[in-house]
Amino acid sequence: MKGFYRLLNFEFAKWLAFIAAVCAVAIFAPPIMLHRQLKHYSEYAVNERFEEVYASSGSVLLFLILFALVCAFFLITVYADYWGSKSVYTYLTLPVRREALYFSKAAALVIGLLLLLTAQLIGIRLGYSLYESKIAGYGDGQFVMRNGYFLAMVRSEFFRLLLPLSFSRMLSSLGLLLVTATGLYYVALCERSRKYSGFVVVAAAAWLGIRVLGYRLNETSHYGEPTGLYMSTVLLFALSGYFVWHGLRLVRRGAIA
Amino acid sequence: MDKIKRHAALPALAAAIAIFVALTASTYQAKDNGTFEVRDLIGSREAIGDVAIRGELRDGVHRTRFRIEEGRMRADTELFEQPKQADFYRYVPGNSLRSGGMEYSVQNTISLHTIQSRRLTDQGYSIPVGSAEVVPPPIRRDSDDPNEGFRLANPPEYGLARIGDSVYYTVPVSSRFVGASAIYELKFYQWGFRSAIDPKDYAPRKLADLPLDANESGQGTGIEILGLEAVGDRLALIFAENGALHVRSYDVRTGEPLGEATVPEFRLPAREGDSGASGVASFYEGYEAYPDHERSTLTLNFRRGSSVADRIDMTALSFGFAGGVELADRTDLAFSDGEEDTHSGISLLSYRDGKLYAIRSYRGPETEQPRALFDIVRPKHLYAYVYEQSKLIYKGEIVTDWNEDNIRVYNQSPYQGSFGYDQTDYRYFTNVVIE
Repeated sequence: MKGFYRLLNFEFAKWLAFIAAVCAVAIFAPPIMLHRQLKHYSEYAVNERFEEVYASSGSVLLFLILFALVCAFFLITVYADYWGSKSVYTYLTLPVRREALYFSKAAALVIGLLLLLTAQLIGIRLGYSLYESKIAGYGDGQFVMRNGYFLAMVRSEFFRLLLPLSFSRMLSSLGLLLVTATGLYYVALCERSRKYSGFVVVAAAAWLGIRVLGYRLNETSHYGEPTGLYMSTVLLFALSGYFVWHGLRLVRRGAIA
Repeated sequence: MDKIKRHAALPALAAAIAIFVALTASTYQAKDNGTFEVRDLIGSREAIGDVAIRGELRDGVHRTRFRIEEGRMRADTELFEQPKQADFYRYVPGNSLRSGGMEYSVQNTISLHTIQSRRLTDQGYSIPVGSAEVVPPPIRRDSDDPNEGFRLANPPEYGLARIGDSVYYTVPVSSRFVGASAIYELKFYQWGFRSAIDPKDYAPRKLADLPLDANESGQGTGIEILGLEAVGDRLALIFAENGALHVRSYDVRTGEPLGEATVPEFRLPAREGDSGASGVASFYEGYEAYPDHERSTLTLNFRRGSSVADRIDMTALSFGFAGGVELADRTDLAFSDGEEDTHSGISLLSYRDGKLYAIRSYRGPETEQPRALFDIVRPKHLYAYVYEQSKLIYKGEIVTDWNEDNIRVYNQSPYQGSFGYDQTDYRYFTNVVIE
């Protein structure tokens, strides 16, 4: 356990500067982008709802870019072990269980993704305060919606994806996060150990993830029975479990060397 | 710095989880922060102390159920697991009859009325289930009249009523119909199998005869059947004859008449043979019906021609069905609170213990919010009224934030194009009930 703790902190130390920068961008860039978007808002202009201004300011796109950056950075930390000093050999000879090696990297990625998510949510909250103070400044406050932050959070599909308020959607979002983290690591492990057949499972997971995302981002247009999404969530968890199980096997056998 | 680096992972994880949970909790707790209150405009709130008014304000993602009991408002918000389509149904007199998860409509020709039943689904569409047929009485010919033969007193759906699992129908005949009409209990055959059945097997059961002798001569206003309503386990036939409105109650099993109430001085507009007794207001035939099955009362709301601009004049007639039929209350209503909201308006009347309660919603005047340039986003208001002995003793508004959903359309000019009005993005009242 102590070995894992040390390895985890060692891994996470590589992330510190990078994730701090990502979080700073996720927190402070949306308000700045919103501010730009709100420049022409006045009592004579059409005042869109917060969630629309947020999306049109590019903040949703920004989240996607930051998300991709975090994933790319993770791959860099994995592949860096094979470049230059080839420290992967050192890792594999460390007097710790190889599971600790696997979980330290995976946990560092999960923490990184969680930090990004939280930072993005803080950015949304800050952005709403900015939006509200701007539109409250003219037209006798007629443009302010009471309880507007809550209404934006429940009405916007993107916000509901990041901050779900019902049990089935929370599980679904968690499943998406886990399958992304474990799947990404699994891709790297398969490539390193030349087990290319693993890509098929990853492709299946990606297809499922995209299906779920597509559904979650367009829920009102579905005419069928409302679904609890439990089936897809179970599949997402099962796939994550498979990625961990097989990834661990690859690491344990030293196939990744 | 090194020391921080050696122990940063777990604190970072803890911080991320803590902030996430705090944001989730604070957002969820904000669900009941919207405005929900009763604002007294006329009279004292004690007037609504005897009843409970409940309903819901919803959009596509959440709904707030409210209940006003003993004058106090309670509201509780529920978030939908999955966003829902808007439920557009509201009671519109003369539209299809909805009852017990079914919907009934009538297709009529001169020689045959076909009643179709459809099963409603949760997804907002309906599936045809059965059909039944009724032969209407013959029509007195008049070659001078260009509309010859095509007149019913009301849309045919006014003649539908459902009690238990049985559906009853009578043709809303105008004074053009002669011979005899009847109240029928319908017998439905499988939808689409018209050619495979013997129509005799599915002939409707005749419950009560309605002779139309008064129409034979063509003199006077004759008899017109305005509609059929269900009150508890009784049928109420509403008809106009000799310048008076009649409401007759029938036993649903035997078809025996149980009593009749008459409202004199009841003129329908522009009827041939009307001697035109001046000074007597005319009533439009398209009435609204609000039955109270528990208390065995029926409130009929007739619109009158209004002499004042921007005022809606109506007369509510409440009948008790406990013994025979008796006219319990007559209240003239005059509303000048705005235009009627034909899109999602609420209209409800209930008579109990000597008081008439009305709940109605209106669109405010254009001047109320000059920034709202499309009619559909003009501010709306939901009012509760109480009348005692035909006098308004209370008026209150149920104040919520629903009009704020329209802020995004302020300053949007019709000259610059249109905007999408999706009911899932705008809150609306529904399922409002007086208990």
